[in-house]
Amino acid sequence: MTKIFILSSLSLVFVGLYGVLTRKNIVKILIALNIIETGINMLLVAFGYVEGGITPILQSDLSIANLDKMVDPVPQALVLTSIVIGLGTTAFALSLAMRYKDTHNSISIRATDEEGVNV
Amino acid sequence: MNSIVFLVVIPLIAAFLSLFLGNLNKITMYIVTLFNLIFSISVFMSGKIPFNVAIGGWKAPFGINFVVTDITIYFLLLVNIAALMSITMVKDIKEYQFYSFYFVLLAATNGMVLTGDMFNFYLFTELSTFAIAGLVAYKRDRLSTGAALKFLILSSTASLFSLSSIGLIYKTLGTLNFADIALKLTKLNQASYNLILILFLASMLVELKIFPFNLWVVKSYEGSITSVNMFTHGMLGTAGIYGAIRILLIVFPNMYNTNISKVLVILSVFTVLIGEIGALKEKNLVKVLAFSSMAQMGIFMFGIALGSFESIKGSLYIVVSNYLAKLVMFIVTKQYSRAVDSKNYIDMKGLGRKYPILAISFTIAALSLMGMPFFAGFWGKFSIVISALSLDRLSTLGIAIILIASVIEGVYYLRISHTFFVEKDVNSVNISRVYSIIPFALALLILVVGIYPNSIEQMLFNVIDEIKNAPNKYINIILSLK
Repeated sequence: MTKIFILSSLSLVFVGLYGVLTRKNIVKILIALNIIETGINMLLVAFGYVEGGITPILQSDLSIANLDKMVDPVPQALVLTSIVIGLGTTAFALSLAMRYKDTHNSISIRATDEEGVNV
Repeated sequence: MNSIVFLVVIPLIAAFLSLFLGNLNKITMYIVTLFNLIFSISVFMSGKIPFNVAIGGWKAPFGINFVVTDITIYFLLLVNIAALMSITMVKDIKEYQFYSFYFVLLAATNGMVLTGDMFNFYLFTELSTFAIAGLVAYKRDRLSTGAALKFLILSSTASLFSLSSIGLIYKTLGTLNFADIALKLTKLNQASYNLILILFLASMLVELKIFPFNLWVVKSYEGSITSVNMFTHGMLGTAGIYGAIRILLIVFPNMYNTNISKVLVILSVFTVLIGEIGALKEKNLVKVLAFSSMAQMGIFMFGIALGSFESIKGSLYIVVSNYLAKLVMFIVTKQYSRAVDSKNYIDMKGLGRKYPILAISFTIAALSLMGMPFFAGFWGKFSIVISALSLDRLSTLGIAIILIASVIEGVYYLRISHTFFVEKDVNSVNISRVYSIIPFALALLILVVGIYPNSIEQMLFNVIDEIKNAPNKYINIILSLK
């Protein structure tokens, strides 16, 4: 089960990476970024997964006896934080993209090339 | 010293308040920055260093902790001094977005330097990236919007890789604390070690402006106002350097047994070459400075990648000299370009005769970057050359290329300095002489460090000592082992 999660998350990362590297439309690039991020979040959750595990909440004496069956809660906390970060990035980048449309009259990332920075 | 968290918390509170303060924002900016600077100086003077603060009382490997050691406090001072100097360049009242992003940047760079936790470091890095992208985009014209968007896309892609490396660290070692990682690192096999380090380097090299990741540098410098250039150089750059020293040298010290250090040597040599050649044909002074700061970061990374303590000392000299020199150059560029209303240095003919102090400060900074004797940069290049020649063939070749590139650097910087002193009538130009004070003081500091290097030798010795004795000086303090 864990292997399926890890494999699918890695394939999401590579799909997103392909999108970031090849698309020219800024909105598509941002969507691809979100796909990478989903993949990595899934990877983190898969790292904390335990086969047949239970929720990591201590509610009774019985659950203390089952500590080794609990899934790891730390990656889930990391994922929650990184989802918030991803939301911030996307919102900020989309608002920049709107201004990009105003100033360049295009949403192609190549539209800045004509300014003559030869790097 | 639990109050060390104020260095992060107070700027963050100010970032919220700046939405409502309106015209009071400028005063708040000075108050908060001065608070950060005075607080870090008082920590420096208190004599309690090193200490470790477990936030919320959760002991080190389990909770988030802030650590203050010798390296931390020096970089904390560098970041906050750069912040104070940069905001003196903010003349007119800006809109609230500028101040809000500035406070977030201040909190994030202070946090990057203070934190002792991998995930926390990642968060602060992301936060500083947002802030810089927002500040670059503040000018709202075509160039700055494109530059900010490209920087944001590049750095958030890279930081996703570092997030996956953090996941791998947690999966393999079961901890995210810097000291705990360093302690357990021997349990890691070579393949996972390499994978983790490569993924993490991807995000760090973006801030260090190393070759395949530095495509954002020139446009962001060109598209933003001078104070933002100084934030990028003095705050984000310095915090990135701190991250490189802490993570490459203390948390993952086995790097030198692998091929990663060789790859870093090659990348940094390429960075130096590209930076210097790019600057050679530029006429725009800000772009010249952007290319040159890329090249200086390449030399810094070269010294770190060589890995001997002599070359690390050289790198630290490069950091000090580049930090001082670029601040001088940005201030001089700002004054001159505002006077003639052009960023092309050909238009600045004759200004050096009317305002010689600014031009002389610029020349001193340029000579220091080139590595002339009697200037601060000399000692850095000297140490790096000595240690590179005693190592293998690759580093000898690398240092040869870097020395040739330094000659190119000399050509374009002296050409600019010469242009300043060419005779031309500039009576219509008026610059207040007050603005000469800060660059001249910094230039004098470069000379003092260059002629009398013992003045900072003790600090560099402390830094090297902490790297050498990392188990005693860093790991045991955090994990309170005996």
